[in-house]
Amino acid sequence: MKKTLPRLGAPFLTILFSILLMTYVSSLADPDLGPSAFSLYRTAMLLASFMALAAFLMDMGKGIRLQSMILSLSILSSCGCTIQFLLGNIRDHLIYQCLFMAAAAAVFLFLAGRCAVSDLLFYLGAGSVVLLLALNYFLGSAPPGGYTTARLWLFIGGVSVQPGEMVKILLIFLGAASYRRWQRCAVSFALCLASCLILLKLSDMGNAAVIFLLLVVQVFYLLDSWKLALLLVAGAFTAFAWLIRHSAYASARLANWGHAMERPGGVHQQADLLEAILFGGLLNGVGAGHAGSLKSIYAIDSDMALGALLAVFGAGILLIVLGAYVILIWQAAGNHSVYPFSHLVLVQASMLIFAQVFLNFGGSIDLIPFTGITAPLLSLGGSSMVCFGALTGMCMAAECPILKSTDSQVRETENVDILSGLFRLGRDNLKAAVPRLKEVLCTVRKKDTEN
Amino acid sequence: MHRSEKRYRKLILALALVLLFMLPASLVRISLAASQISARTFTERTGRSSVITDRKGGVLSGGETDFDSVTGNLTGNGWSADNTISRRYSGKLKPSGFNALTGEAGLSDKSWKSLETTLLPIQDQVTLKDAFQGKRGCLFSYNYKTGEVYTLLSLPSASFLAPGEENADDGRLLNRCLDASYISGSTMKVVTTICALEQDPSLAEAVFDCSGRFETEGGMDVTCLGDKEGGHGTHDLVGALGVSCNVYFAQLIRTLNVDAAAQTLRQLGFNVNGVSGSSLNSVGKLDKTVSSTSFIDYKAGSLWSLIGQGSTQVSVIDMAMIAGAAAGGGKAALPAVIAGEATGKTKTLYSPETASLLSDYWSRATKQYYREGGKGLSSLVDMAKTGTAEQGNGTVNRLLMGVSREKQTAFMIVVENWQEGDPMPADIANTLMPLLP
Ligand SMILES: [Zn+2]
Repeated sequence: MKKTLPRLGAPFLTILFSILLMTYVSSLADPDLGPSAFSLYRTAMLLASFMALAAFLMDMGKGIRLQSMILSLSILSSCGCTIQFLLGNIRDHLIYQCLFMAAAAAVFLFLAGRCAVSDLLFYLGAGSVVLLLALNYFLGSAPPGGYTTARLWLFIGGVSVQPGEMVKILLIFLGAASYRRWQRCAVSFALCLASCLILLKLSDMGNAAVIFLLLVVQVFYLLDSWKLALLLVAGAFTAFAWLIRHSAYASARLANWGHAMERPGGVHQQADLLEAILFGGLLNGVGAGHAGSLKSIYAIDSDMALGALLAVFGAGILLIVLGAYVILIWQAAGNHSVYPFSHLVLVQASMLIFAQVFLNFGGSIDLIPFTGITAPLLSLGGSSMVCFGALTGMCMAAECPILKSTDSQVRETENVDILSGLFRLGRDNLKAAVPRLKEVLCTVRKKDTEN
Repeated sequence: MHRSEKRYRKLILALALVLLFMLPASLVRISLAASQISARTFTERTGRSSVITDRKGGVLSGGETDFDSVTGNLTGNGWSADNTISRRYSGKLKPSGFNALTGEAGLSDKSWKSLETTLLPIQDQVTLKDAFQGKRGCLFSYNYKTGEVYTLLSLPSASFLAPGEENADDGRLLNRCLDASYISGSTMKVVTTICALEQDPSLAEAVFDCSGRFETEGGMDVTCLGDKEGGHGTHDLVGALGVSCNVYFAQLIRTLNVDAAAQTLRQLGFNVNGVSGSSLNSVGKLDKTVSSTSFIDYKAGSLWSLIGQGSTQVSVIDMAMIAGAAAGGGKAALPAVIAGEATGKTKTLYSPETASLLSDYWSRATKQYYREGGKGLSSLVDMAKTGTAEQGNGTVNRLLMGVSREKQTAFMIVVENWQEGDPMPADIANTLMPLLP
């Protein structure tokens, strides 16, 4: 207990401190100050990157994984605050930062020490996914302005939320709780697939792609079978390729790929960003004092946040930001927890971070098809920040389980033949009549426990 | 521990590497985008621009200067029109020395370029514009030996310095020389003559009688009206070209082989009955319209087509080339507006024999009917043919195609909706001649 307490406090104190620091620095960055404020920024950025590097190096074999992850998060928070300040969104962004920390703290406190997930919690999560998808499907609408036809938003009393963001986090939770639980696996896979299809239908290609990658991780990891995983992935991939070909929206996006500078169909946000980056120069960027000129680019503060940082500060900032993300991914995946739930949370989180950063940055500069997705901790957006906060909380809980679970049922003792397990389950279910379904479920769970 | 874990850690390692690899990949993508920036974007972002100049270095377009209202929207500075030098030669107008690393800071005064055209000095073009006295129309002139285009005047036209006209639908944003085609009127008789001479050079000696009316099977008779009661009488090719005798040419056409005539027309650049031959589709990178006509046999409608009143639509550039080839031994240079593109590369339109016969008869007709006796056409113009094209709404366009050997220049002038008191194309040609280099 004594040892874990400082660990608990450190992450939040670091984030809080860095936000305060960056807000202070941001307040100095009056456009009139020009170069001096700009150099201050760069010094701060450089300092942050050195800290991250130091933390990363210290971590090698010394078991302070959590701290280096926290530092990476701090750097990203700082970068996020900086770019949002320069784009004139600092008030909203700080509120979202607070929501991020609140969500992280709440989820951390709720999950810390939990090594297994009860059926109630699991099906509550599954139900939430269904509910959110249903809400999004029937009530979702595109934002005013007509720039995109993606129906990702729910407008509730003046506040807009993106249910798709929460769905991703819940799916990670469900997937992590499905280890060696075939019933849960089936539910989790089915929900992933359904979410993917529904989000594609709603033209939310970005989140559909992220969820598809999560599904790949789950299939690969939970089934522990190369052949089956490959088969499923190949099948799903073919299905998605077919879907994308038959979706006018998706195929238009694909057709525009690589032609952003030609402003296909009047879409000019990527061209505007690329031009801003080019005219500022990769060496120096347009400079903090001129960041306001980027404001006219559509979604510059969300779908193009990383590109905006690049435009303002030059290519050096990429090293810092991408470096911080890489450390996060690396460290998250390097967890050696004996608890499958913890481990699965972390590997899925690393995949999610990778996918979002890859799609956000690659899409904004036309390196890959543009999908419109947020960059964790950089982009402006309440839903995205709250959900990434929840994920951070899950990861931290997974990293430092303060309380040892007495529930040893999930502790791994032996390898199980997945295929025969699934076969057995299917056979049992077929045999069972509908009124007996509940009984069968109990039997299967008992069998699992015995194993 | 889990069997997949090791494999999965490798996968994650790969993902992390992919993210790191995005750094160089993005730099490559961004550098690639640097070459795709349009000249206009450079102007919009920096407030500066390369310039397009006339043949003497006078600025036609660039920065706060824009003579599009004189040059017939040719330079295209500020407008979104596509068929303009700004758009089509965007690559030559981009500043040099721009790179992704230093961005705008890498640009200096020397980075901006000057694209020289072959057009007449801007003040001369203003003089020519004024010669139209506010009438709509166009004036194309070029050196049939070198290909240098002297004027691509088009009226009305607009400058982006006078905002609010970008949505005008009266064609002021198009260049009539490049983008329009006109009913040929009697200028087509030169083409008819070429068709005849290509088939049988001895037809140059042909003499036909004009009684004012030539009856055809279809009932649509060919007539010579207005000039004198009872027709033009008996005359040869010189007289027929001089008085523009429809009845003479109707009878000339009767002696021709229709397929051979179609072939000649296609060689001249016409699209005949929907089939084009060696049509010229562009002036450098600028698109131009293609002349077209249609005829099926020797019945009335066809005759009218070759005489120039039917479905014949001509590009003024094609007509100037046809005229220029008369002085160029059947060959005319391909027109070029950009200085470096005027290489003197020629296109063969008809045979040297035809050219020599045509220029002989046509020169005599011009001298006798257009210059002598106070007709007033400049003595610098060796060959010329007028045309009057009825527009169907009661108005007429006046046309003039011609050649000046001394100035090595072929031209075609159109004054639209001509009315009594308006300037004649010949007046504009007379203004043009002393301005030519
Ligand atoms: Zn006659």
